This record gives sequence, structure tokens and C-alpha cells, in this order.
Amino acid sequence: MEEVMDFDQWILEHKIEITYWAVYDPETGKVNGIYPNESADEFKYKIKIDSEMGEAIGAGKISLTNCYIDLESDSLEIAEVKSLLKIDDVLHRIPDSCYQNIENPELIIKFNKDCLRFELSDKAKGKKRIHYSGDTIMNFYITEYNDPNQLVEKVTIQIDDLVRDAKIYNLILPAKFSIYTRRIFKNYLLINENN
Amino acid sequence: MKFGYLLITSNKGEIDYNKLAYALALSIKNTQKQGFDQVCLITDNLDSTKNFKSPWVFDQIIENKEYQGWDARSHMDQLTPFDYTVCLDVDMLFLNDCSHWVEYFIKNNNLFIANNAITYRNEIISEDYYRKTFTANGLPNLYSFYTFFKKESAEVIEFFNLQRSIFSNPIEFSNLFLTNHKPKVLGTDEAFSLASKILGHDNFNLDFPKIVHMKGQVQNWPWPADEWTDHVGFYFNKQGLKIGNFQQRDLVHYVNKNIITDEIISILEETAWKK
Repeated sequence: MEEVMDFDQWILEHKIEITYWAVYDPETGKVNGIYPNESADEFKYKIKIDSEMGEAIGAGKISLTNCYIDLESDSLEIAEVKSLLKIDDVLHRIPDSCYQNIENPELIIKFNKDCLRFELSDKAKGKKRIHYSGDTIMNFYITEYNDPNQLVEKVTIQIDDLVRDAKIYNLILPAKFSIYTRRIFKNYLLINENN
Repeated sequence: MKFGYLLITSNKGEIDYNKLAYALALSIKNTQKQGFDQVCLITDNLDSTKNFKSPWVFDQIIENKEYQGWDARSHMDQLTPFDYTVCLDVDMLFLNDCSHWVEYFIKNNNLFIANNAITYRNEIISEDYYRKTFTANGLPNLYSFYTFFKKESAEVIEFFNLQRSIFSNPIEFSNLFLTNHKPKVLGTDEAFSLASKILGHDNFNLDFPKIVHMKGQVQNWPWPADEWTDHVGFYFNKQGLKIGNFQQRDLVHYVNKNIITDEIISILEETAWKK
């Protein structure tokens, strides 16, 4: 007697794995297209991306125009430029090195005695491609510890100024404080050298 | 009379529930008055409790390998070492002394399950986004995250026996009692509410305890919110807790497990050490 195939079982066993490739411009890092499997063979500059990201870009959930390849990172990745939607993007608390190990922060703030020193990391300075205009203003809100509702000081810096040199401010601050900012870079770090 | 808070954890997934329980126990020690600050942890993983700097915040730690996951919570009446117990979800924080609630329950109730949930802006939650089963089937709107009971009272034994039957036979009970809207998963809240309805418990209508319930879709925001932490900040320091710019005074059920960082733990520990 002929055995009737269970289609649901068959489709489960024959799952087609799609490998997605992001094809990019090596000068700017801009992603030009997402290609599945062998269709990317003809391109020289490409990286493999996970299927979730590939499908999200394909479905238009992530705009292709917002996608770049981070050429400076050890492992190539898609750097999506997000719109400011989350509270952590608008009011990002700069993590303290005591509690969080942030790898490769772009902007480091060192606190020593009453001095706050803002500096861009060598990696951030040496970027071939900066997504932010040099006259972009960065506001740093120095607040009571873990409470942005209580402002103590405000520091404003242009990115251009930081690219040239570190900026140092002498301020009278409480023993414990936090620093909040609009998130422009991916990673920030506060190092309290008084601890 | 021996009263205490019972915290039950199951540490199978990525989340360290013992760490959340530790934060809650610290907050209990920091805020509740003597005699109302006993804490017992029931856990299936004793190892992670050995790293705590102040394990003394748990007056008892009991290993439980018999009941796993949510199932353990349905046995809270059998697992508790206390005469009078409040069993809490571990993703909660006390910010003020709530001992007077317990004093009231000990005098007046054998069993009490919270039914007042509020937003972080102190508004009563009327949205049923997560509770369609309750609305459609006329279940009492109970939250098992705060459950008071007197051990071995007849009312409590009857309630928990029925609740365990519901929990063990979710399809049968759903088909019989929840026909207007069957839950995808029959959880502790549904089981408690259904047991309460079947047994005719209707004495849960008090104005307290008021619990800030931080699920994204019930914050009365005019936009959808999967994660509340994407929309407002969680600002905890020794002066207390602000969510956004609202000072919190009630018991907070924060739901998002990632907000209990090592830094939050250290703030709670420092307060406990200086008390």
C-alpha cells in the first residue's frame, strides 16, 4: 500500500537555510545591498550577516540607507543608525567603569579630584568615516547620583573640539554623581580615578 | 506567631532569579520593621546564593528540587516555613514600610491575593491587554505576585488544593470555565483567580496593597510599549526610586529583570549595612 507523505513533517525536515550577505562600499562602509546565498558571489566586498538582520532589512523593517559596515571593529558588523526612540538613546547614563566593563568606548570621561576630562578614544579619532558632523554639539548633564531629575552641572562640547584635544573642566561636584547625555556614540565610559 | 516573606526561584534559564530575590530581600530588610522582615528563599539552585555578600538577608534558604518552575509557586502553602506568609514574585522591590498591611491581614484574613495594580504615575490599571481571559470569563482580577496566607487554615488548604488541580489540568479547566477566552498558558494568576471564583472568595476588595505593575502596555501611554524601560528611566539611589520623574512609594513589580544590575545591588547592600 502506498504510504501518504506527511507534508508538515517533510517541510520541517527540509528547512532551507539562507545565508545573507551585506555588500558594501569599501571606502564609505555604506551597505549597497543584501544578497542571499550565491547571488553575492560576484561581489568582492561583502560580509555575512545573520538571517534575522537580513530578513529585517529585506522586509523594510530596517532601512538599508541606515546600514553601514564598521570597518574599524575586529569583527565586521552592521551598524544601524537608529532614530532616537528609546529613553536610553535620548538620556543615556554613562556607565561607571566600577560596575560595567565597556569594551572600546568611543568617548571616555575621567574624573580626578575636581577635574572632568573628556576624551575621544584613539579608535574614535582614527575613524575614516564619521557619521556625525564636526559641529555636532554634545551636552553632558552632570546630576545627582542616578537621578537625572536633579541637575548639578551641564557641559557642552563640540565633536570637532574633542577630535583636536581632550577637554578638561574644573567643577565642584558631589562625592557621587552621574553623567547623562544624548547618545551619539555607541559606547561611553566614566572612569572615576578617585576611587 | 511567625510571619515571613517567601520567595521562590527556579533558575533554569538565563535569568539569575536568585539575584533578583537577593535584591528583594535586601529591600525588605531595608524598609520593613522588625518582626515583619523575615525572608525565606526556596530555590532549586543553592550555588548562586553562595556569592552574595550579605546572605544573612535570607533568614532561611531551603533547597527545593521537587517542584520546578511555576509549579513550585503553586506549592507555596506547603513550602513555607512560616505560620503567616506573604509569597512574592522576586522581581519586586519594597521602598517603604508595608508592615501595617500584614498586621491587617493577620487579624482579618486567612487568605488574601492582591487585586490593586497601579501605573508608575499612581493611576489604577484598567487596561486588560494582558488579561483578556480575566475580562472575558468574569474572573476576579487577582495578582499572585502578592499572596498572603495562614498556613494550614481550612480555607487555605481548600484553595491551594483546587489551584493545584487547575494548574495540573489546564486544558480541562479551560474547556470548562474559560470558554470565552482561553489563555495560551494557564499561569499562576489565572489559576488563582479561577480557584477564587469557583470557591466564591470575594473578600479581596481592599484599597491595599497597592502595587506598581510595570508591564509596558498597561502604563496608560498613548503608544504601544513592549518594554517599559525603552520609554522611561529607572533611577534608583539611596534616596529611593524614581521611574521617569515620578517618585515611587509603593511596592514596585518591575517585571524587566535586566534592571537589577550589580550597581543596584550595591546600593541596596550599602543601605542594609548602615541600617
